[in-house]
Amino acid sequence: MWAVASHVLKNKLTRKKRYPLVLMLEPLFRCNLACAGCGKIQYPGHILKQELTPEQCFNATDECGAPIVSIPGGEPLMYSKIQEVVEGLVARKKYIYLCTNAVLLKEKIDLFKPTKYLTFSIHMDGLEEEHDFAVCREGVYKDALEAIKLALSRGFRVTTNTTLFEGARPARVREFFDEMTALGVEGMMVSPGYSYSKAPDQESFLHRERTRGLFRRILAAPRKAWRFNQSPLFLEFLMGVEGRDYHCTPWGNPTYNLFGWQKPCYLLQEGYTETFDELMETTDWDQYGHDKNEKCRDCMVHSGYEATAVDQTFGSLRGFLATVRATLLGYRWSGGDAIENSDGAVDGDGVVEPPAVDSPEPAGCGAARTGTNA
Amino acid sequence: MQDDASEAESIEGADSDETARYDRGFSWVEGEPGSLEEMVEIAFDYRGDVSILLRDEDDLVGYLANRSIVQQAPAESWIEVFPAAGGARRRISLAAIRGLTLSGKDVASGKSWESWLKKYTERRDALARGEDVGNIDLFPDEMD
Repeated sequence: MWAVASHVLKNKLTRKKRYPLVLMLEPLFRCNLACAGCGKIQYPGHILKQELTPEQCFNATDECGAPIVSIPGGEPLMYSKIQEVVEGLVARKKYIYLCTNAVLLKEKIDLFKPTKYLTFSIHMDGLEEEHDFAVCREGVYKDALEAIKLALSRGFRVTTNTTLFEGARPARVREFFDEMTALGVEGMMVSPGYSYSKAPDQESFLHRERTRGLFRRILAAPRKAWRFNQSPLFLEFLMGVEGRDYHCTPWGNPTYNLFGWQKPCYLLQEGYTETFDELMETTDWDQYGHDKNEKCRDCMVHSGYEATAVDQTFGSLRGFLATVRATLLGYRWSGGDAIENSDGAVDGDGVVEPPAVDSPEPAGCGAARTGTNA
Repeated sequence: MQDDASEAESIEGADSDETARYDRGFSWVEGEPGSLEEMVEIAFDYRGDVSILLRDEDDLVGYLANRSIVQQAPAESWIEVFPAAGGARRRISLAAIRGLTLSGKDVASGKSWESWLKKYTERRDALARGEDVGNIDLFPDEMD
């Protein structure tokens, strides 16, 4: 939290308008899963065989300057230099979120040493049925569960990273949060997925409001024990709380991979630049945002909006007080609709228990479900 | 414009119909309707290798990963290609290119969420009927 706060305040004091919070470092595109619709891994074999060098990873980290480095992919535990890169980033005092499906974690865990700088962010899209369905393979949930237990027993920091799509069942998601909390994970991160359809239709247009409804049903009456590794203001944004109609901060989570710095964000691939400065200076940022670009219309993904919430926290006294209020008293849902959850019908009016406030966990695997040529 | 795999599509249609897809075999060679710049955009979206017909050297096959189209200064436009045969990525001026073909397999084809959902639902229904159905787990393609 302090690393993020000091980074934001430093940039505020120097009146820097755009600055990154989380570097999304993709050292390879190869993965050991084949989740349907995943837009991150569909490349010819000769591309999948390639990896960034550790030097490229460190140069990107230094260029970008973000206090947090997320390592998604592909599957980062398949990256041949993962140990060297993690050690190099720890030496740079970067907070690392190693975003993994955990299938290889048991085999690779001895490559790593527990440190406050390293967190395993385990991709878990729900309980067994939902997760195995989401990753298109049976047994992955059980493997991930064992890996979480192992990592926790070894003293590693462990969080979960959950992406929810159309059709998610609120009661089951709440049950999943209970399960992860019982396991003892440090925090949970949740986000709606990005589903880009090139075909404009009314159904997609309504998607944003459906997303808010889904998250209200999931989050409006949280259990005291739940800990989210996210800004409470972002959670309020997902629930559609008044005053949280955020705009995207696409430069908040810049992405670096084999092709270069990805324009404009983690989810859209509209081109690449050689340097981070070139990315920041040559991207026409005004083209993007849910009210400006069809591709962004339904997007409420954390890689775009969590940075906005963090900026609001440290950008004004009002934002700071809202975060303090949400941290101490719980995030706010003052809508009038009844919320039905696993406990039965719950009136959503009023203040609810607080989520934990921590550094914003970066978006990882599962956030993207593209329709590219599929 | 030639499309070996399906009915030929006009390159002009790409701008007006955002749902247009281009299959393996789709190509453009100078002298045909459309422009190289439009074909480059199609190739950039394609999740497979392309064959690049070059003016002064042998054709190059590789993945077109990036491009810069400068409308006001065409001579400054370029593409970046990772050669399928290996080696460092190459930046090639559009002025050196006389044609492009979507020559490699589209590795995204048939891997949509909708396809998976259909397969999953069919298996679930078959299981409910008591039928013996096989495993439908998805695995990554072999990296040839």
